[in-house]
Amino acid sequence: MENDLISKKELLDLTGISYGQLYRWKRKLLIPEEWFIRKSTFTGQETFFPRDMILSRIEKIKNMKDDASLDELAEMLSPNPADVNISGEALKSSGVVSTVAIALFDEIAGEQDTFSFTSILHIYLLDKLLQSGEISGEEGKVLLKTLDENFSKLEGKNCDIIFIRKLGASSCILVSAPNQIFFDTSTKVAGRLNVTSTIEELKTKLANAGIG
Amino acid sequence: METGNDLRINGLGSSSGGKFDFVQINGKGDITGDLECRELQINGLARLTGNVKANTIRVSGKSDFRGDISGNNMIIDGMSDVGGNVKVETVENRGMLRIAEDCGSESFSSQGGFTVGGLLNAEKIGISVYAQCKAREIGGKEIDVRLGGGSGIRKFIGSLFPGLPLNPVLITDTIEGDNVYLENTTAKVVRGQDVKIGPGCHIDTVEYKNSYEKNSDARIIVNESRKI
Repeated sequence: MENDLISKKELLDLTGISYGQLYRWKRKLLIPEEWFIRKSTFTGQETFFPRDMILSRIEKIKNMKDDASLDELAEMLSPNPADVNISGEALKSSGVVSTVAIALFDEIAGEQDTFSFTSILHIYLLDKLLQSGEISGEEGKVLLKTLDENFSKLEGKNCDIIFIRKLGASSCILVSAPNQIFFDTSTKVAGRLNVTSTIEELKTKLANAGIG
Repeated sequence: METGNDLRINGLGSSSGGKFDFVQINGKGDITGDLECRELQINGLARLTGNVKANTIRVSGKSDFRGDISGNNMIIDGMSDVGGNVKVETVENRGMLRIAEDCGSESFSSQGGFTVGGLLNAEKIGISVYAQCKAREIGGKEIDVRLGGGSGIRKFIGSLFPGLPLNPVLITDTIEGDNVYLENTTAKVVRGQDVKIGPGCHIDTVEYKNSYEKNSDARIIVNESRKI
């Protein structure tokens, strides 16, 4: 566990940012509150961060801050849905998600004129799992139904989507994160995605495609 | 604000909150729900149980906010208690401000006394210490803490707010900033790029990146200083 954490001092050294920048980014919610882990050490109170997450986040902020304002960045990094509504045509031509995934979504939810961010997110999650070969098209439908019925309950919160298989039967679980979850030995975890980081990824992709 | 109507309480009154343009309380007022307005002015005694969102908040009397406050400007000339978080671009405190949780601002200036139960986080922090100032942690870019006014002014403030802790000192666990200047400060750790410690300080550890200066005043105690 200790190795997974990085002290604030080490973080500033490694990334070359200053206290002022770190506190500003915290204020602007570019760095989530729950990443600041306060601990007592022999030199007094020190703050630690989850190492991999904070390093990749700071890299991201440093890369993007020349092109976008801090508020735009905060919008992009927040787990809340973006304000996006695009037509099916635009979504297909953007190439953010595959047409196969869109077709599956249409099959479950009916033909859509426009897609909201949440719909695109569902398609994107499905697409990622399909592309990696972790789930089949039939299982994709189960995924979409699970998301459709339950995602709103966890919206804005960090959550994982997990696909398990046992004796050929599959099941989809939406669980708030961080969470530890264990299965019996004959159960296989077929696929697992963190929704919050997927949202970030999707927002970046949409922005690069000139949407949102 | 699309509604554009005003709420005025003169004398004794209460409201369940809502959306307004201008809200003024002269006398004693209770607002029992969330309040959203362009300007909130309190010239007496007010208790607000919900969250408050306002462009400008002016308190010239005594106010008790039970929830969170967000907005652009907050000017406290009297006494203010906040039960939640404060997220206001510019905070000007010329009285006594108590915040139970965190305070996040672009600019935080204080000529009075305050307590922040959590983190005081602002780009620019300017504190003139007139009465006791307390925060669990302080972080930002520019942090400047000085002893305020003469003892006459501090006595005058004391006569206005009897029972106020009057020893002019800032007490905190940690101060972290780029440019830090401190007077009359008691802290466990001060970390910064350029750190200057002035008179009346009692600091356990100073950690600095570029420069460190200590005023030659005898009333400074710094147990340990190291370049990092």
